[in-house]
Amino acid sequence: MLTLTSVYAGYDSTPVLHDLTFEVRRGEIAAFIGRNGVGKTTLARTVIGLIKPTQGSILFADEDVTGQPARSRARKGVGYVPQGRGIFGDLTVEDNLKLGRTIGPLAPRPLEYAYDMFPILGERRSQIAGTMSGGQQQQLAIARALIGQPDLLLLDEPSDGIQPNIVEQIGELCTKLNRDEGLTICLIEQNVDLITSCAHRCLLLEKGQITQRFSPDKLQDPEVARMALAI
Amino acid sequence: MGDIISFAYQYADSFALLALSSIGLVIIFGMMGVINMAHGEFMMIGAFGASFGFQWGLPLSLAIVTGVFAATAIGLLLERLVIRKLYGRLLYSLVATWGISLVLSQGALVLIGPSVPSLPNPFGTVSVGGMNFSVYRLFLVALAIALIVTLWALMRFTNFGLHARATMTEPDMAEALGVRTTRIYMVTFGLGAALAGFAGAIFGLSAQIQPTFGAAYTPIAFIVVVVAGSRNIIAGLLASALVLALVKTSFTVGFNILTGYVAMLVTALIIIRLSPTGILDLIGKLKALASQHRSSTAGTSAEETKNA
Ligand SMILES: Nc1ncnc2c1ncn2[C@@H]1O[C@H](COP(=O)(O)OP(=O)(O)OP(=O)(O)O)[C@@H](O)[C@H]1O
Ligand SMILES: [Mg+2]
Repeated sequence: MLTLTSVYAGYDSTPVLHDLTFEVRRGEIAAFIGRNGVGKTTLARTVIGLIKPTQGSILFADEDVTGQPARSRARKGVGYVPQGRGIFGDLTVEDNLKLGRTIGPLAPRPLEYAYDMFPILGERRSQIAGTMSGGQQQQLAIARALIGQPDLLLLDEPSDGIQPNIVEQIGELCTKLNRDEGLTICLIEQNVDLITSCAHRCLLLEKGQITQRFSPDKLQDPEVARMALAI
Repeated sequence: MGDIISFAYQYADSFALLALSSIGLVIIFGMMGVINMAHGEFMMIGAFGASFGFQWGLPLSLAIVTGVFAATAIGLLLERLVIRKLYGRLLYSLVATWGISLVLSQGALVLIGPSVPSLPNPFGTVSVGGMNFSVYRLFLVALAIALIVTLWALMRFTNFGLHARATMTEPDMAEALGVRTTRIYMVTFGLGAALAGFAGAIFGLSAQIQPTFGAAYTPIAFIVVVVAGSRNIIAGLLASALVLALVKTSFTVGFNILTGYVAMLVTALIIIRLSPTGILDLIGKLKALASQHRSSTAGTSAEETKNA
């Protein structure tokens, strides 16, 4: 579903990803872990196309998308939920959701789909999104990405600053979407509970590369957790 | 009574002048952070186009449409060739569009000459209760209101408007959701040029049409746009034009036209000194101050009751 081969990417002054290679298979939930500042967000932005790699290639659904802008990748079926949520703060909840309709090649889902998934969004549909709580905004960002029926969901630290029961809800949602609809998920996370609740596999990012791949159970080992996460 | 009506008439007239001469500029600035120094030249192109259209024997309304088309076409072309590379880079875009404005006005002078035939003004005057009103001026007021309402509806109710509002605030996120942001920018720039051309053609009904035609309106448009800011195109434009027109009219009526313009400029300077991002944020700050004041006075009185 998603293959990165020898990707180099970063910012003008700071190279971050360095000969990065990995594959995420169709129907998989892959957790990307790594310490703060190691480049997880850079990886997500490179996958969606907001950062252009200087070298290497990115394949999505067997198509080389390396040179394509973010909008094309989104329209081909990548749903992106950025770190910090990327909500349009001046727009209403409903308008934010409508903006997810350009994702994916298939017809978008009705807004009711989002309201069924997260009832609070239905109750607040005409509220200005910037005035919602962090947890509500996270739900909105996830629902917005799912409205467009993506094939790949890219979640960047969805648990960041969110209370435990909503984190749990997000884990259950990932499991359900993966099982029922075969949704492939790249989950960038630091939260052990969320990772172990839904991920099939962990990929450890260190010094711009994936250095280890292991089963999520391993994170129960405090030694592994200390090495892999920012805790 | 007569004074009030006359003041209201002048106020509406100033509002229309400010709104019409700036609307295209405000859209472009609000959407992409580009100050289009060639705004006046787009107005000039609109007026020239209308003049040519009329000479070719088109009815006046179609002649005006010709002017709008000409301004739009040149606007879209320039967006493709130059402006696209400068989005969000205020200084570059200032210099580049200033260069474009020189090329356009000098080009018009060389290719077309110092002036073109004027357009006829089909409007007369009406007199109500002994006072005479120019129908043309009333038409400008109606037109300004109609354009603002149309633009509001476009931004509020259409898919284009939704995508434009998203692109305006978070271009990267919009792009990452599949919004064709480059197309949004192109259409917006074209729309700004079209509105400038339209205003130019309409103003051309009452002014001499020459290559420097736009210069009469651009200073006003620039004042309106900096006061309007870029947070919310329609609300910013409305608030800016309403406030500045009020100041201009008051001082024009109280003193003279020159004082009216000076007062408007001073007001604009005060507003952007207090709130560099424009009048809407100033209004927001004042509201916050007021509620703070209210809660702090409520707080003290609660304190006092407790102490008592
Ligand atoms: N816009 C930017 N310009 C320059 N450097 C940046 C920029 N954004 C991030 N960086 C740098 O790139 C490196 C990787 O940042 P990134 O945000 O990808 O890390 P991360 O793994 O997502 O961290 P966290 O766990 O804190 O979210 C960091 O050293 C950071 O300082
Ligand atoms: Mg990050």
